[in-house]
Amino acid sequence: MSAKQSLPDADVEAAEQQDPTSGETEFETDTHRLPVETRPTIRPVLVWMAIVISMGVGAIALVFSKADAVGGPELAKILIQAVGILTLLVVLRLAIRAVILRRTTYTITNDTVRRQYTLLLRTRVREVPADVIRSSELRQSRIQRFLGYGTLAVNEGLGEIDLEHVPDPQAIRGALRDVIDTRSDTTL
Amino acid sequence: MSGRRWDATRIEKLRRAVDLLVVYLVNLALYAGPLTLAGIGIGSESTVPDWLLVLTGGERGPVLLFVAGFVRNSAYLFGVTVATLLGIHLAVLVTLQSKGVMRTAYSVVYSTSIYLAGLFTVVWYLTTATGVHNARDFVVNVQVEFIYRVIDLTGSEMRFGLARPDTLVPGEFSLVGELSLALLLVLFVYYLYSIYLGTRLNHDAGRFEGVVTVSIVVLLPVLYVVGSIIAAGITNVPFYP
Repeated sequence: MSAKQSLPDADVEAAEQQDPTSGETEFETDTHRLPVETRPTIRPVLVWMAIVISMGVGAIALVFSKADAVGGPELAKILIQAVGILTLLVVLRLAIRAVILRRTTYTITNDTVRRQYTLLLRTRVREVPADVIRSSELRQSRIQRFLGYGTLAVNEGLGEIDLEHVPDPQAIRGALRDVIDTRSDTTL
Repeated sequence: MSGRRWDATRIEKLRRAVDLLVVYLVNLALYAGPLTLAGIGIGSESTVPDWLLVLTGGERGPVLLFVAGFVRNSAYLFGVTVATLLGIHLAVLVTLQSKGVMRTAYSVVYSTSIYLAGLFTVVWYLTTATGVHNARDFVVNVQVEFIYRVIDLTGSEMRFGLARPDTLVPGEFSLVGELSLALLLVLFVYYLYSIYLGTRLNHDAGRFEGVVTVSIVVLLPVLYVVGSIIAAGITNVPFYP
């Protein structure tokens, strides 16, 4: 039985059309056409931004309504300003993270696994040759599974590359397995 | 062969320690320089020790005052950084997460120290600026009240040089005072977060161990005050932290 036939059914489903927040993935039915190129999803970052903003606004409203409990109106003003500044800083950091993720691409070819992003005229590329890949690990918590993304850690401890916020990670892992199996067949 | 590899590892560790020290000293100069230029830490000529005259070739005047202020600011920042390093590493040791003091040093040099410098700057500004006297008094009152609360907790009848404040907030804060206090609080939160993140990333600690480390660092001032109370009780010297 070939490596491709042993893939789980989920890995050979029809190509899906995804919304802009979840990245883009292209692959054929029955087999994984290489190169596979995908972008990380920013959905979890947007969720975190919504949570942070809600918590910040909630904390400000609470302090405003219970000023005496925090030591009086003067201290309440200090706390409100501090919470506001912290909320803005965290939202800004998440926004930067979302921009970086949107400008990141993951590419799997017969020869390499590559992570690349370009920001402010600066390009960062991390590439691992396919013939040195020895392991891959899919990490997906319950929340990540609910939101439909995960992290693929490739070659951990051996010159690793992490593909974070990967939409439909099972499919990408399938493509990775194809690359590893093809390399093994060639070697044999 | 194994002995040579062990020596190479030692040399590599030493090289990394020297690199880290150089980075820290450069950062220290970058923090202390602008502070001194802004007038923070600069006193009168009478407060300048004579040995500093060697650095200025015997010249008195603005250069000497600047050098004295720079040395004073650097010493304060260095002292606070060392205390933070020891405190964080002690906390990491207690939680059995330590992977070596170098990892703690990396975390302190590259992230925590910048927030310490920020805290130091704001406190110095409140101490020396005009128009923020209520904010300044509030910061002092919080510290005094904290010490009295610890004394109350220990049940000690310790004498303390400063009177307990009747109220924490002496009066309405000016806008600059408000913003300074808000910034102080934000920097303190980021300082604690940098300790948490440094513990998790550099010592591969879990979330719980990270939180415990931060909690221990937060409790260190309490331990310091308790220790001072005990020492004052043993030596019969009045407690004046």
